[in-house]
Amino acid sequence: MNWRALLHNRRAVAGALIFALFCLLALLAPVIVPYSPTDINFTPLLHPSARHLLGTTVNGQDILSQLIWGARASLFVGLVCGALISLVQLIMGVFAGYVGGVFDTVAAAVTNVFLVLPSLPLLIILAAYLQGGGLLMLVGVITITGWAWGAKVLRSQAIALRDRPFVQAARVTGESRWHIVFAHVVPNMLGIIVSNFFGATLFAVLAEAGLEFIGLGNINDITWGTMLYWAQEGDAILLGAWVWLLVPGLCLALLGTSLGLLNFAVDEIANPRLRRD
Amino acid sequence: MRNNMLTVLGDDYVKFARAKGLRDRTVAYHYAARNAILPVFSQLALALGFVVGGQVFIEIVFSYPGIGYLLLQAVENEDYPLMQGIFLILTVTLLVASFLADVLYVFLDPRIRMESAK
Repeated sequence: MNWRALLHNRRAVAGALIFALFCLLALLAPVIVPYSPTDINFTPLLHPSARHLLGTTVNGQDILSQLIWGARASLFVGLVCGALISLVQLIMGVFAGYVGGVFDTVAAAVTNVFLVLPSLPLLIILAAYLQGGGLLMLVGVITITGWAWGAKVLRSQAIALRDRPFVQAARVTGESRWHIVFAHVVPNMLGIIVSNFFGATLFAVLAEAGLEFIGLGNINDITWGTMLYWAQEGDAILLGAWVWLLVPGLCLALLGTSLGLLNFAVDEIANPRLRRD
Repeated sequence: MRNNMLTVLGDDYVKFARAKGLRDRTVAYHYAARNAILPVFSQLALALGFVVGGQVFIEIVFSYPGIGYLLLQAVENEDYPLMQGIFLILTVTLLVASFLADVLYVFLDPRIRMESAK
């Protein structure tokens, strides 16, 4: 896959810029927050002003500080889940597809079962069983429910690559299975793997926010999902505190857009047929 | 759909149809789209699972008394059997839906019909 092409792709550049902005926000959060996000000593329900750029919540917390701090949780869950899901997909999809045999049969069956299970309800139920576990619990639950679709896509690619001459040549020279998979098969499908990674990250960010919003997970964590949860609980719309409700949603949408743009862009570069210009 | 359409548009029979001098619309809808829609159709059944998931959240936001709202109440009351029941029903519904999609696929795609006739 051609990494240079990413620089000339408008979607990729736009997506990467927004994503980098959020990463910067998350990394620098302790330095740039104007107040502590857990501080509840401000006048409740202030409208946006110079002292509180986005106003305050019904509990007297500074919304901007919460927003900046919340970026950490979303990015943490998103990236960790994206990496874990990609790893599971590599094993259950690429490796199984390449090796074939009993392992592949079992892996394909498990993948198909997870594919049919409705993932979001399963997510809710799993999170309900493991109540109050915080972010790490969410990471685990999201990873379990989010890997199947990508694994199926990667598996069919791995099977298509398995019988290509250069892979057969590698096999004849007696290289180990893992080496062939990682040195010959994976680089040839890197585009799909990377775009799957962004897709999985997007799924994780949205699933985390969704679960936090309905009050699963730890409601005392400061994330965009819990901000929405408290805004809903605190009747933000009735009290006219629209910024409180709007801003975390907008940030989630922006982060989602950036991941989606990256996903499409990588897809476009990996698959020349999709390129139009 | 866009991806499939682009793949199909590059195929020889589309070129042939165009060479016959057929109008662009005829080529697009009667030749290319009919073939491009097949993979979309098989994805549709799986997308249903995602729709059900999204609907859960929508019901919760608007307090619409559906199965998603019931699921939330079950979660809030820690009513585990109810959660399991809801999940069972959702899963069975999706299984039936994807089975129906597979059956319909045979009608849509002659290639699969021929394979089973052999």
